[in-house]
Amino acid sequence: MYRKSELLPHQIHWITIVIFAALAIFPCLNPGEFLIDVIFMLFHYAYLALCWNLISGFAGQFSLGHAAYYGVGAYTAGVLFMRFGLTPWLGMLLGPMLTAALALAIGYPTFRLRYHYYALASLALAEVMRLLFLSWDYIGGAYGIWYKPVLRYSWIDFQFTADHIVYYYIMFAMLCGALLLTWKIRHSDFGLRLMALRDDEEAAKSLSINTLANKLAIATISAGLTAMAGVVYAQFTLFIEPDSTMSIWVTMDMLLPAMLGGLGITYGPVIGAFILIPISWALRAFIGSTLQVVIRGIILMLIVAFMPDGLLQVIINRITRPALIRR
Amino acid sequence: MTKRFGGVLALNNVSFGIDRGEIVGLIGPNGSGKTTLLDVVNNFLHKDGGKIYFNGEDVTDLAPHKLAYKGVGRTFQVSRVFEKMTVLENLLSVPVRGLSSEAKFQRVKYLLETTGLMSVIYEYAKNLSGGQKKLLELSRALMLDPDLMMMDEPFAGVDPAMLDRLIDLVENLNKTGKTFLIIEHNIALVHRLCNRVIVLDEGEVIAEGKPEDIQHNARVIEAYLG
Repeated sequence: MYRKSELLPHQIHWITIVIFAALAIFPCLNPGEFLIDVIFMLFHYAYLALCWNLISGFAGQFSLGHAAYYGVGAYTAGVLFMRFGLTPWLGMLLGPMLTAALALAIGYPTFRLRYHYYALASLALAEVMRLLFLSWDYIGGAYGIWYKPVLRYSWIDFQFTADHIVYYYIMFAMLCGALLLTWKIRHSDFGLRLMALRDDEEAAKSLSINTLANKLAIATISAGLTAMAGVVYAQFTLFIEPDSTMSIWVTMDMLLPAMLGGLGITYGPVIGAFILIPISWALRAFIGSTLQVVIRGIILMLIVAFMPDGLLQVIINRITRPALIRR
Repeated sequence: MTKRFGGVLALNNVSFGIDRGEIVGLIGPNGSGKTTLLDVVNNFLHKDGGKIYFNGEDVTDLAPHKLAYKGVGRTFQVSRVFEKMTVLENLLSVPVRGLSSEAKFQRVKYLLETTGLMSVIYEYAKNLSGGQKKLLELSRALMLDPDLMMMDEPFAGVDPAMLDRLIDLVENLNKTGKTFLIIEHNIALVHRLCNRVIVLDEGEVIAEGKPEDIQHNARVIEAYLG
């Protein structure tokens, strides 16, 4: 069976492999903890953008509240460890389960409606969760959860303060896994159904596509994967609080790279993250947090106005040639 | 079938049957309820009364995707292809159950060759001409091998060469036993293709019969000419 790819030139696949191979061996060059942490965060945001792209890029269901899943993941790990003395690795299982349930809870009523009710509902969900967690003293309220460092290096406690390279490779593995999953979905019948309902939901229904079931499936996958990133973040920073894990700005950190790189394209969010996140950091360092937010807003408007399909789609359109993949 | 939009009675007890193997034309002035009727049958619009039977089964409240799976295909007044997907992906996106990958591919190949779209197989659907989009939409609907095809003005805006191809496709499919319900304004095409014609005006069936009988019907003439 012949299956069309994203019309990407073969060179882009090879360049990706080379870059990822270089990133895999980068820590062996003793670059220092600062650079390791910087690239860890790049992986982190690229991974989050990929997760967001699954529901919003492929299925066209714009989520403005993905931070809720991120925060639930982080808090699941934090509460399990600090309240119950359980390994935060359980958070990697429980967090996705909880967020999948949340995704089903808001998706089931809103995916049946037209227009952007899902976007509104997801935004409301994140804000409600943030306010709830701010006032919930059992899990720290506004003070959040401060981890008590147990050991400087402990797999069972998911803490590697003595060697951040472990966090680097965990996040790198998750990024590679998410990229592979995205690629598999994009080139599967499931992915084609998602893109069909994205482009025209009624037409998709007229072709016997169960749009509700497909939307719910991708929503739970996206939510679960996002929660896992929240767990890793909690273990990396050893401190979590509602505003840094559930605010709209967390969702924007997923949304902007995906939109810049290209919605519904496998590599788009990764490219977008690797471009936009360093720019954001530089802006924050040189012009301050407030102006940095303004600049990011302008960037979003420019993307929507001049490059709505993203940077990678612009490249594809200019230099595309048919790419045939035999399955 | 009855359908209201607020105080507007879009369909008023519209009732008719289609036999297997027929090509039935559905005509009427603009705003008579033709597209609304199709949307109600498909369950894209909630109906305010009436029943729908397909192959002897009550499908009145069946979800659109389940009705499609039962064997009711649909094309739209304005082509609704998946614009950000290629021609090939448009066809492959249809979940054809009970077919192996190879058989599905053969069906795709047959449809693309029959409709002349093989040359643009990797083109994004948004880059196709209007006629090509019509052909793609029809091909896509045929992927499910429906028993009944409901087509909403399939020949509108199509150039003569494409038109002949579309008509030949409909006629050949009809010979294999497919049933068609076609909304069409072009009376010459209706004469050429349809065994029977149903005329709607202001949400009501005002005439039904052979094309040559319908065109001399006084009520039909009045509906079109006012």
